[in-house]
Amino acid sequence: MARALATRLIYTMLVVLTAMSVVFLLLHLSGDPADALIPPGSNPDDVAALRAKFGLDKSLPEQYLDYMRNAARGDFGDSWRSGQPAMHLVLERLGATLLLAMTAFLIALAVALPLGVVAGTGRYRLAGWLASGVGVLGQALPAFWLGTVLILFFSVRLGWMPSSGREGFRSLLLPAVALAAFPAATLLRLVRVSVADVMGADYIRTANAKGLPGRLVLWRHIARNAMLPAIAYAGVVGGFLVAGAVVVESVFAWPGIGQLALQSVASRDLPVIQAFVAVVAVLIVLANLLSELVALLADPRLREASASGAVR
Amino acid sequence: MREHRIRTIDDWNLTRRALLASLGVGLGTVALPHPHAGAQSPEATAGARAESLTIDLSSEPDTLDPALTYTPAGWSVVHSVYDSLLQYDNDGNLELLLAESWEWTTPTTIQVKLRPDITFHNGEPLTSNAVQFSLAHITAEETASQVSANFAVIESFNEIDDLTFELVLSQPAPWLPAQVAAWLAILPPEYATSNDFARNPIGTGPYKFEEWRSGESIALSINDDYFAGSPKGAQIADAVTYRFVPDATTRVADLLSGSAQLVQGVPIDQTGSIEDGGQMVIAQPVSGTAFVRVPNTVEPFIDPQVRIALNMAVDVEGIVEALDGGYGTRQANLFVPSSIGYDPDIAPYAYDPEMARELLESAGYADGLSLKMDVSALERLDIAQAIAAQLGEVGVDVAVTQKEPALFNAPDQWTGVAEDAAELRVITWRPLFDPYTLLSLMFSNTGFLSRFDDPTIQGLIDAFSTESDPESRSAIGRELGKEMHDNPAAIYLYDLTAIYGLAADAPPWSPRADEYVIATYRGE
Repeated sequence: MARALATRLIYTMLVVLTAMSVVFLLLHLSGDPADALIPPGSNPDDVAALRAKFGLDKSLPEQYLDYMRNAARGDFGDSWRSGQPAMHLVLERLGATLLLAMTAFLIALAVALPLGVVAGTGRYRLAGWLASGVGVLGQALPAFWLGTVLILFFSVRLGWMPSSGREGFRSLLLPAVALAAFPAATLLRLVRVSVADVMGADYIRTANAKGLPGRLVLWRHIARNAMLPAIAYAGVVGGFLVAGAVVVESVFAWPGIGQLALQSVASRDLPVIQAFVAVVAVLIVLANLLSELVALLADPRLREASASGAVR
Repeated sequence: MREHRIRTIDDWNLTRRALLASLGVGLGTVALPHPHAGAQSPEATAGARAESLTIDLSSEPDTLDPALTYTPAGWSVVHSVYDSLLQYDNDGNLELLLAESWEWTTPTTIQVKLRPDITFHNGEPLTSNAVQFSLAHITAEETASQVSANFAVIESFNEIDDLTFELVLSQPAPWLPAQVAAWLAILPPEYATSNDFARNPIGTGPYKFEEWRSGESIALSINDDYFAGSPKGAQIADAVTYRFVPDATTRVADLLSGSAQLVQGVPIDQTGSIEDGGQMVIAQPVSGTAFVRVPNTVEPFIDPQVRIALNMAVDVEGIVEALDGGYGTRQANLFVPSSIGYDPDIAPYAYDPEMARELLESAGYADGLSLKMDVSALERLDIAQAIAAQLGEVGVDVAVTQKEPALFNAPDQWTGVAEDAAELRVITWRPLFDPYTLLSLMFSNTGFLSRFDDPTIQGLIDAFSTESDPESRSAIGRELGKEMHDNPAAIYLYDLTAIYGLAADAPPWSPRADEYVIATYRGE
């Protein structure tokens, strides 16, 4: 287990380093980053001064080494737009995004798990229909569209919820639902299929034959075993939630890192984009790590495998 | 109530079209009353002040340092908190703001007297020293302001007394007041030397800065000591909150659900839902224009006939009608009605595809042309595509590319050096009270954004940049406008319009031609 963890940590570092390098290269190779700094109509002397000020007059490898060296100390430079430290800007907004993403994740779980299990048994027709509906709609409706419809219905028509911004818990609900729709649908399908799968397994037949009550079989044996793929998938959901937050935050004017990233990309605010990517890479890797840990705890086979070092 | 609204709209100096459209809103309101309209209408009388006003801006300011603020969203907050020495009214007349007098004693000397007894929000008095400090800040290299070059012409600042000073220029610069109005907001020297005024600004303006919640909102409160009779008008709320809402549909929803009372940047296809919801749509002509820049330094554009043909091939009225709700009027050149040198007697090119084809033929392009057109991702692609389609009708095949703003604005894109740089570039430019900046940057032979060089037009631009007598300068502007119409440097499109949504129960508010969204009302 300790060994597995150490391996994961090394992977984590590699993934974050790779993501940061790729973004650095993409940003620097897709055009002169100084373009973003240069006002239309500035004279060439000013341009040269600006380049020197932001270190853009050095060679690309030099810039890359500077960037990595400073990033290792958590210093991503100052935003070109606002002059504030880039990492500070990202961390300042991170809480809002995490709150939104976690709420969306909980909503997705709350919908997908019970509905998926019940529908997966194939015993209740209503649950089957509901699951199909949520599964299809959640995957088919783009988050920005769903968000807009939610606002128009619950805020404008009914007046129940604030239409945008961050004013207490009620402001959180609509964006979280919009963000949850897609992961809820995919999780639901996954759970449903694996429950149906497990239903046919020998140990379920045994449990039933032992005369265990049906509900106990369903929740203790079927659901628990069917959860394993869903847990593995939850790590992927973490990445989706952060990406989806970029869209949903902009629809709901939610003050998270997604909006910050959009603005920074539009104005090519390199330091902030790089800080954003580093933070998101760490988050996604952590989400995966977490889901693997939960899988280890839930599945004795995985525990044994990593203890003996045979797998991974 | 209806009468009040009509009077107010009249006062906002709208175009005839916009006025009709707005009246439609008023009538709509009567037919479909807003649930709160009746109950709160007493508040809506002129001069009434709301307890609080929430304004949705389409973006968050990067900073509140006036020297580094380049967007209408940023200007809205900056000019609420700060004042400049001068400002423009909606017709393009210069007005005195913090300056009590502004006098050209020679073509290169300006003597300015400040209003007495003005204090900053922290109690610092407004003095000549504050102006000198603000000027030094905007021109300082470490500030890295994009507009510092506009002030390089000021050779020295001579303080005469606490409230009087003299600006000595290295050459005549009749366009300097426009720069002062737009960029030179006055900072409090004592506070600004030792505090982060870019995040916690203190000015002399109608509202005081309270709080900036990153990514969310900026809160202001009324400055009770604001000087009476300011041309900015009277404050209309005790507390003002600017929220940053990038999505246009959400801004409209905010207005309809009561989360905001005033929203910026209403898309044309959503004005209907604002009217249906019983709120008001306000269309304010902006001192700015849209055009497609056409070079004259490379083939096939050297022959003016080709550039005239391009102007005749585009049905600007049709595009404005179909895609912009009829807001905007076809322009004859780069001067708009609020510009110095605007001449209403110069007729825009009429849409005449037949004539366009003939001109292209006589210029030797009977087989048509194949061109590229770039449009920034911040501008409207549909309008660029409509222009391209109409050019296609006369045999000019145009490939449209939308580019990220940073790429679009790269210097080698402007100068055409970049391999993928298009000949045609869709541009919107503001402010245009004094078209000097646009002309010198984009159409003079020394401009960094220019691919245009014509000796007659160059001579007129030079004269327009240096003539100190306002009457003669305006005449030069008109001559220049005529010349640029006859020998076009662009496909001239339409003047810009800003569209806002205002709650029916909000106090009367004055939109501005400079697009600052300030919570003030300039009265009847």
